[in-house]
Amino acid sequence: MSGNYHVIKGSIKLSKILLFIIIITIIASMVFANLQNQSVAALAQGSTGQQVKEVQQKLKDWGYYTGSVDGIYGSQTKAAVVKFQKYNGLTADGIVGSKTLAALGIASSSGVSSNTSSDAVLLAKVIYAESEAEPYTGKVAVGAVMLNRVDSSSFPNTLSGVIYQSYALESVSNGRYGTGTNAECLKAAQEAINGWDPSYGCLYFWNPATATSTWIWTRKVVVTYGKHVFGI
Amino acid sequence: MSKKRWIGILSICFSIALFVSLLWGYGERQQKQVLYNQLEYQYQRAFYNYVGNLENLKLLTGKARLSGNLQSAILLGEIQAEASAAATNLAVLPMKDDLSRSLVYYNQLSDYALSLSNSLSRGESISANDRATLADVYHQLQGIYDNTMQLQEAVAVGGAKFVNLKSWTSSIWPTAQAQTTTGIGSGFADINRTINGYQQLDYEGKYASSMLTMTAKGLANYDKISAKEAESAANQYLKLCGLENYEIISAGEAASAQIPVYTFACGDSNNSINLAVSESGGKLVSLFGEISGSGKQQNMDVKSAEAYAGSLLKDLGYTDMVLSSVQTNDRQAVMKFVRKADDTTYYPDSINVRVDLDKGLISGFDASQYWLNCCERDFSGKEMYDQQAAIGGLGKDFTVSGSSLAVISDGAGSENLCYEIRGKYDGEEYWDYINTDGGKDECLLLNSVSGDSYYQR
Repeated sequence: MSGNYHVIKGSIKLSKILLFIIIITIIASMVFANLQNQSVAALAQGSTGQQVKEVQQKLKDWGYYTGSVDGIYGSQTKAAVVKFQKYNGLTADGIVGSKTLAALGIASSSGVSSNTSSDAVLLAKVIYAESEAEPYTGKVAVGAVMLNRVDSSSFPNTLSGVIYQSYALESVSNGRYGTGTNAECLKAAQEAINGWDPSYGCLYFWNPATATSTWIWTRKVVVTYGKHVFGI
Repeated sequence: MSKKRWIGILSICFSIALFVSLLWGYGERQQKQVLYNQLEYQYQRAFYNYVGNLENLKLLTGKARLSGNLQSAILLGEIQAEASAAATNLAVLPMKDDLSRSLVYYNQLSDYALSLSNSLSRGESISANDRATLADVYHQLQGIYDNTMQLQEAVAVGGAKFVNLKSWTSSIWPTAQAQTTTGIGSGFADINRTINGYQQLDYEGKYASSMLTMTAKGLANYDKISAKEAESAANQYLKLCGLENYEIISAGEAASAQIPVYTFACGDSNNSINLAVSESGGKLVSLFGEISGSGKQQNMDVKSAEAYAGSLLKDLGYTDMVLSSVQTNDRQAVMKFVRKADDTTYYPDSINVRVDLDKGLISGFDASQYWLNCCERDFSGKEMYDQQAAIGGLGKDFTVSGSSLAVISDGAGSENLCYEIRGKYDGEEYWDYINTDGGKDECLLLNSVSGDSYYQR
């Protein structure tokens, strides 16, 4: 009798757990599906790059942060962000989204000045998506490669044509292209448009650690910046 | 609570959960179907536009090969636009195979039509050779069109798709498998192979084959230097640019670049810059990067930056450069210098120098255009168009302030010796370039002035 009771109790407990897992899975799937559509580029612990540097610098200038301005969003940066958010009446979650960026006086990564030319914006988005974590020279080189393609007969003859060419850019295929840009990438785009070409006329760039195409290795490597190699 | 009651409650909960997930799954499936349709029809739109471009090109080239000059000018303008659109539409299609030869074909056809159109605007006629070329292109297009029509039939009648959505689990991203199944991918690859068999158009233009083999004219007579000599030169250039704190971190070689160079990554404690020294002659071709530190004069004004950049050029051995334009942005001044000799300004022989105004340091240098273009030019042998006639040809409301000789590039590999006529119209300054060979108006630039910046566009 007692044994039966424990079996029934155990199966009820198991059923409860199963039911809980199912409901959580359904809710998580729905939330995840919606999150995927939003594509918001927020900064959080683990993020790196120029915009993290900008945030750190602002927090340091205003006395919230005492660590080094290294572009790495670590625990010290998170603590400073939480402190800043609490002080400014924002949700203190340690995540730098559009509201926190605005409170810091930093242009949101998707916020682009209205007087920026459309080509510069397109180019800046590619640079952000393809080389946000790369050194500045590498960013300008990525922009220059896009413009070199426009001038090459083997590619479409407009910048938008080059960027949206099927299978041409991985960041366009995987959606990272649509996540925004930042001030540094806009500056790099403008420099490429003004004629600076640290790629020395290259038409391709790739990351040897992640490139899956064997064809890309048939290109002649010209120069390397950060993790990207540039070739013709 | 009894066992039966628990089972009852759990069954209801499971049923609700199952119903909600089925409902959600159905919604997701519906959304996927809509996205799939949208994507497929975007590709089909690009495909049908491309077929339309081909149809028009065939018709237009057929007419252009035998029309009179006036009619040809109109037809060539249309060919230029249709061929350009064909390249754009083709590039949108999700093909795994390399279709770059097809893109080259349409881009060159567009460019070729533009070059013929320019010839007509100079008062020249379409030569017998060009008419024969247009006839060849017409026949080539006929073949391409016939093959493409088979693909159109596969799409319109055979239900061939650019996007694969066979099962619940399949991705809606177009796959190579889908194209192979329907034959679209292999069809385009076959057409690309056929086009690859055509001889490339022989003409002068932006996309002409001759532009690909362009070498640095200015470095043709210099000997090659060794990597060690290049490193020594790089250190010397760092000093001349006021970056003596920078040390060479790593060295490389960009032998395949348009100007073969030795490359150097140079850094100080904070930042790094990249410097390129030509393999021939050991000239400083470019310097670019983020700089740190400070020069002798910080918080420079633009005039001081101009003088600083000018003196750098003299130190580097460029003794005949004059300032052409200045653009300031984000506390940086970018100055364009051009060569001036014998009262003639050579605009293709240009060097850009960037000065960081806050730090008072050179932060950018680019002499690639100078070394690509600089050479002895010979414009003799042609009768010079009368300068007064060139000035007189401008509108009477154009107030001329000066005139001199200038060499400008046509952007297609050729250069023209022109009268550069500077003057004002309606309060704005324009620079007009009249070809000394025949008096054709080659280019008109607006001299834009804003604060410390001035440049021509």
